[in-house]
Amino acid sequence: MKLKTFLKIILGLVIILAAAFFYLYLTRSKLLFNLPLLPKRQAAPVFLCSFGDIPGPDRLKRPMALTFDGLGALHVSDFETGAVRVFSREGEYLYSYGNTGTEENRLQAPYGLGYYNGRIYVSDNRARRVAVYSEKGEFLRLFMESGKGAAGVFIPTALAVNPQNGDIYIADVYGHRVLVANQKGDLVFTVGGGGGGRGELNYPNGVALDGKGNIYIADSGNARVQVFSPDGKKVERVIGGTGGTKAMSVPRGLVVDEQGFLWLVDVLLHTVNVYSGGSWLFELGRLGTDEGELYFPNGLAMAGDGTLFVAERGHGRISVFGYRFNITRQ
Amino acid sequence: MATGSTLPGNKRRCILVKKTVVVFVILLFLAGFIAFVCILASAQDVPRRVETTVEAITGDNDHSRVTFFIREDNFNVQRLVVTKLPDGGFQYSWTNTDEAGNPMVMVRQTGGPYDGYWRYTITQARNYQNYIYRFGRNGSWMEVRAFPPNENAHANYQKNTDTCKNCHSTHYALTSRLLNQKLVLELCLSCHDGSGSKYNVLDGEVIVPGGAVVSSPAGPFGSAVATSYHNVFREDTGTVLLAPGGTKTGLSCTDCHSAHVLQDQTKPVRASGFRLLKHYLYETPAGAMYDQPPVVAYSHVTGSSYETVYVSGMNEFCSHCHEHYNYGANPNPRLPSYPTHTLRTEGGDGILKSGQYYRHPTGINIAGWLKVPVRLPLEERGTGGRYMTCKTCHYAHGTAIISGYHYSDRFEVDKYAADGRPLDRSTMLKRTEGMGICLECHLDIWHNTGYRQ
Repeated sequence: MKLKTFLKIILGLVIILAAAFFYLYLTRSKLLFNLPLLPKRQAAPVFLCSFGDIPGPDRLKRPMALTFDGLGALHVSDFETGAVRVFSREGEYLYSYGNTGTEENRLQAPYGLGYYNGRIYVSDNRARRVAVYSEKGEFLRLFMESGKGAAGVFIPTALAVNPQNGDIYIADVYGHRVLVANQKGDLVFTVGGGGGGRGELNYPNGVALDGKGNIYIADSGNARVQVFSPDGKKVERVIGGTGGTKAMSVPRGLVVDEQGFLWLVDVLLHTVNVYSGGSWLFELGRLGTDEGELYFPNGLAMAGDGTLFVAERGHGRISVFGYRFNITRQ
Repeated sequence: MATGSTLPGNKRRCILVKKTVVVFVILLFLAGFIAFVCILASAQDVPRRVETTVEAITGDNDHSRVTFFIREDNFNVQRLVVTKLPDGGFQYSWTNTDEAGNPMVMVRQTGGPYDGYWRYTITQARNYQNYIYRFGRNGSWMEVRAFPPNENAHANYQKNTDTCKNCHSTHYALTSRLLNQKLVLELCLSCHDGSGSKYNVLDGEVIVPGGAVVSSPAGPFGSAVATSYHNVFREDTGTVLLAPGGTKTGLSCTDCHSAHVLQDQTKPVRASGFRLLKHYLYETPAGAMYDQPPVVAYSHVTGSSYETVYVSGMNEFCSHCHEHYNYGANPNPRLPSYPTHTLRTEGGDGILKSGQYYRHPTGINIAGWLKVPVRLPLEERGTGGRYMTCKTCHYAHGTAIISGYHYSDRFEVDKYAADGRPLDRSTMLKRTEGMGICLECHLDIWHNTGYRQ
C-alpha cells in the first residue's frame, strides 16, 4: 500500500515534469534553451565560396556594403573605386555603375546600399549625399544632400530601406544619428545623437529593420547594437557593450532575418556573430584571407533562402556562407 | 582569605591590560604615522590616469559635455589657449581659468560609476573642437586631449579582449611588441577612411566645427590624390623600402603612431600626447641609451582650419629614420659628429656634409628669413625664435602637388606606388608646387631677408 502511494507520487511527478519540459520546449523558453548542456539547436551556415577578388579592371578593391535588387542580382559598393559592382548570385560579374558621368551623378565613395521598388539607393560617404539609380545603373536623381534641407550637415555611411513604406534610413557619422527620410527625400525623424549613453550613438556604421519595423543600429564606436522602437523614440534593447552576453569590438553591417535572428559583422573581430534576442548563438569566420576566413568584413546581405554574402573590405572579396542542401537543390 | 589572595592578581591583570592597551594605541599611532608618511611619499604630482567621458546635450547638436575623472586626488587644472598672430605665426599659453574667466577647480563626484572620483567638467564643449587640458601640481603635468562629440577611441583598451589577439600574438609574434604586423594598415583604415573617425587619412581631410571638411596638417595618403607619400601600403609585400637619409627599412602606420595611449609614469609630459606619436629609445654609437625627446605640439582648430603649433621634438622624431637629414641645431646624439649649424657670414662653418652629401640644415632659427605672413609650420619653442623643422617643408603623410617631381637617382626615394607599380620620380611630400617652398625664405624682393638669398 505504501509502495503504491509512493509509485503514484513518482508517476505524478514524472508526468508534471514531462509536461513542463514539452511546454518549455514548444514555447522555446529561455529557461530551457539557455542550458549549456543542450546541443546547438541552430544549424550554422558553412562557407560555400568567394568571389570578386579575381585580378582585372573590375576587381573589388574596398567593398563596404551589399544589397539584392528585385531580380536577385547582388549590388556591391566599392569605397575605393567609386563604383557599384553588380554580380549574379553565383558570383558572376555583370556590370558596374556610378564611377562615370558628370560631377553631379558620379559616386566618390559609395557606402550604403538599399533597394526599393526597382530603384537602388546609394549613400556617398565622401560626396555626402544619397543618390538614386535604376537597377541597371542609370542615374535617376539625387535623393538627399548634406547641408540642404531639414537634415542639415550629414556624412552618410550605412543605409537601409523599410520595405513597407519605402522610408530610407541613413546612418550619419557627423551628427552620430540615423536619418529617416520618406520617398520624397523629406526628413521624417532622426534617431540618436552623439555620445556613449543609452540611446546615443558613436559613429554608427550599420542600420537594419526587423519585421516589426524596429530599428537595429550598429553603434560601432560604442561597441554595441541598439534596438530602437519603430518611431525611434525608445531604446528597446541594447546588445553588446557593457550589457550583453558576448562583447563586441567594432560592429558594422547587420541584418535581422525572418526568425528575428540578428546577423552582425564585426570588423575587428573578423567574424559574423549571430544573436537571438540579446543572446549570442554562434560565429562565422575568423581572421585571415583563406577560404572561410574573413579579413576586415564590413557589410553583409542575406538572400531569401538564408544564404549570407559578406563584403570583406580588407581583402576586396565577397564570401558566401550557406547551407549545403541549397547547393544540392540547385 | 581567598578573595584577599585574588585581589592582587586582578590588579596585576588590570595593569597588564592597561599596559597592553597603551602599547596597542602607541603601535596604532606609529602605524598610522608610517602609513601617512607612505601616502605622502607616494602622492604623485601627476595623476596615474585621467578618464574622459563625453555626453550629448539634449536639444543641442553642436555641443557636448566633457568630463575628466581622476581617481586618486584633487589636481590643478589648466587648459591650452592657442592664438594666431597677425603675421601668421602662433602663440600658445596655459591658463587656470575657463572660457568664461572663472577659475577651474576639480570637485568630488557623488554617485554614478565614478563615485568618489575628482572631476572637472566642460559644460559646453563645441563638437569637433580639440580640447587640450592638463592636470598636475608642482610643475609636473599630464596632458589630456578630448575630442567631442566622441570619446577618444585610442584612450583606452577595447572592452572585448578578443580584439587584442587580432593584432598581438602571445607566442608567435613577428615583432618585439608581440604584433602580427600584416594587420596594421587595414586596421587603421577601418576607421580612418572617413567612415569611423573625423580624421580621414586617405584623403588628408578632417572635420572641423560646423561640419566643414578641411585639409589635414599631415596631407593625404590615398593613391587617388596623393602624388607622393610615406609608403605604408607595401607593408606586407616583402618590398624593402629604405628611408632616405638613413638605414631603416620597412614602414607601417605603427612605426610613427601608437594605437594606445602610453602610460609612461616617468615623463612630466606624456610621450604620446600629440597624434599618438611614438617615443623612441635607442642606443648611441658610444653605447649609451638615447632618450629621444617627445614631440610636443598642439592642434589649433577653428571653424575653417585645422593647423598645428609645433613646440619641440619634431626633428628628432623624423631623424629616427632619416638620420642624415636632421643636421644643424639639435644634433641627434646618435650621430655625434654633426656640429650645430652656423652661417659662414657669422663666422661659422656654413653648410656641411652629412653622410655623403651636403644637406640643408634643420632645427635652425629662421625668424629673420621668413616671408610675412608666415605660411609654414614652425617650431615655437618659447625662446622668441622660429625654428625650421622637417615639417616646415614636407608633409608627414603625403602631398597632392602635381608639379615639382624629382627624377634623379641620387635621391633615395621609395620606388613603389601603393598598387606596387614602380616609380621613377617623386614629389617628395613637398608642401608647395615646384620648389616654391624655397622662396618662402630665399627671395629678397620682400626685403626681409637682408642680403641673404
